[in-house]
Amino acid sequence: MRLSLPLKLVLGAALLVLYAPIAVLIAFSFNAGRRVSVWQGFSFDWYVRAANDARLIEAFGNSLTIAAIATVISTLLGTATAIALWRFSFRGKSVLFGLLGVPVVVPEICLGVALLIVFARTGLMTALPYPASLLPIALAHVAFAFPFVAIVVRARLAGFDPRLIEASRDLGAGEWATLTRVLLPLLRPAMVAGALLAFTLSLDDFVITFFTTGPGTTTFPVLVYSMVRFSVTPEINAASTVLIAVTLALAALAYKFQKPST
Amino acid sequence: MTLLALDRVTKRFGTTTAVDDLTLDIRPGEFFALLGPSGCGKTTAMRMIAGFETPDAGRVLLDGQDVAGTPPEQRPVNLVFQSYAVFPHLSVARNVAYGLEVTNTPKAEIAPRVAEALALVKLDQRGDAMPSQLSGGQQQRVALARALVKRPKLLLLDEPLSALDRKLRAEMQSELKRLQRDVGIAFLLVTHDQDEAMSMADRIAVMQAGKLEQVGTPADLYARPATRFVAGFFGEMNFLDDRRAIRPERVRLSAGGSSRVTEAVFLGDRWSYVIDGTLRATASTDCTFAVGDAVTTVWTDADLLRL
Ligand SMILES: Nc1ncnc2c1ncn2[C@@H]1O[C@H](COP(=O)(O)OP(=O)(O)O)[C@@H](O)[C@H]1O
Ligand SMILES: [Mg+2]
Repeated sequence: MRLSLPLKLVLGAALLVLYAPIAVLIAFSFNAGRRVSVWQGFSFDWYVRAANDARLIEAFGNSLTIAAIATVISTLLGTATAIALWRFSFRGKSVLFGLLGVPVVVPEICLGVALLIVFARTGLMTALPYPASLLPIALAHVAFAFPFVAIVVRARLAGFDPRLIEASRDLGAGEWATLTRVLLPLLRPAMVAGALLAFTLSLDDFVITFFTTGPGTTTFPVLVYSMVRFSVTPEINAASTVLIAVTLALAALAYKFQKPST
Repeated sequence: MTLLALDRVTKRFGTTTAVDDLTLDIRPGEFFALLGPSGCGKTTAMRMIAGFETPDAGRVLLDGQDVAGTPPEQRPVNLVFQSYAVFPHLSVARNVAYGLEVTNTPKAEIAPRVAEALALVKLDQRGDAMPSQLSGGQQQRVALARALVKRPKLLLLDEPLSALDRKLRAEMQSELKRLQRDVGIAFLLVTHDQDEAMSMADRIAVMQAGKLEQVGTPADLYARPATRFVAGFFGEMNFLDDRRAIRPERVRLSAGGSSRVTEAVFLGDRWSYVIDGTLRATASTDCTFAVGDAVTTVWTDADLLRL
């Protein structure tokens, strides 16, 4: 069916509203001048400057480190949760499954405040020296990212033939061999997709990170926020463009792995 | 001599009794068929033998040993699933090697045994293929090779031929039979197809609604059915009353009399008639009647089956 003209206009307007700001942001990261609204010629200056900004690089590194840690833990925890929910029947199973959705729907601000209270009470936020100080943030990210992994893995398990597990046992494999040789290899695409999802969620999280960051530690989104309160410089545009590129690349990978494989 | 015995085994799922007080024995090296209509409990019986279901009552004995506490991976039986359940992420050869690898069979032993098993099911050229590249019939051969390579004492086959088309089915029937003779392993074939059971099995157990109806050789079951159900299950049967029945080929016809031919169908090697609207009779091609002809039906006591 071909789109009628009014529909085309609506669609065009929607795309414009959605993507024009991002396009402008990316375009002005290549602007030669300081202004963020007047084009003054093409240059990579702001990328060079961003790359030389120690604060920015440190924040970027922190974000990547936190995302990596959160991704590993979320993937393990989410996969284990999904398998447990699928494989075993136990009291409170449906309650547990329902609880999985909570971090997905609860406003991030509430989760942030809740985690802040927990971390403050346990002294996690103040006591730790530098690299260890990233751990509480990573754990906070796990709290909201692992349910996404569990949901993705569970979706794949729904189409999983339980006879494969029985065939494995029938052929002499115990629980462990069946897990590592049959179940996990077949879940790998879902685990990779879930992991990439967790990574991107963690990488650009602002609200929860803002609440759980101790003094002296910063992540990229939090740093950008503090920088734009003074002025928006093309340096931020450049750094943001890099972040967009990383996120998009990972999202594309996640999409590719999410597609059912043979 | 008994390889496997089911001793008064019962299995319930909620309110349905899937298997009801079933007693059976299978001998070493025999081709045994468990036959019955869909839903009569065949798969459940087989799953109890493999260890995937626990009987609510009764015992499963392998070589005289109660296997109640033995998990599936430690029972010397293997199962060919109705859905094949071939591992989609492993090549044909790796599928077949799986059962040897997970039980720490020496590497030097695995390769020749896999090759031998693949040759047995005529897949020796396809070892590197992935299951998704194979037809249903070929996937089933993988499942078969994967189980045979374990050299079980008893091989369980759940409706192995039901998913195949007719031509392939006939081929696989004789091939399974040949395979069973070659390897000398006892086969337990589950099927709802009486012709299949008849043509393949040394002995057949007929089940209905979870209960055993009769066990015997195909000839026994045909000539001396113990129950009305068994009598009606194999071939055609005329039930004269509650206690007597007669096969169509035992009904003799002679010309003239008070009965009428109401249907006549030529089958090539014989004629099939319906007399007076109910009684079926078959006759050789030199005994020809037309619809409406007057006939007399004749049989002796020896022709009758008593149920
Ligand atoms: N896991 C199960 N849960 C509940 N009912 C079952 C289960 N497995 C089998 N049944 C029931 O038990 C009966 C026998 O099933 P099954 O052994 O599969 O029969 P068959 O293989 O002869 O077709 C059927 O009524 C079926 O619905
Ligand atoms: Mg069945």
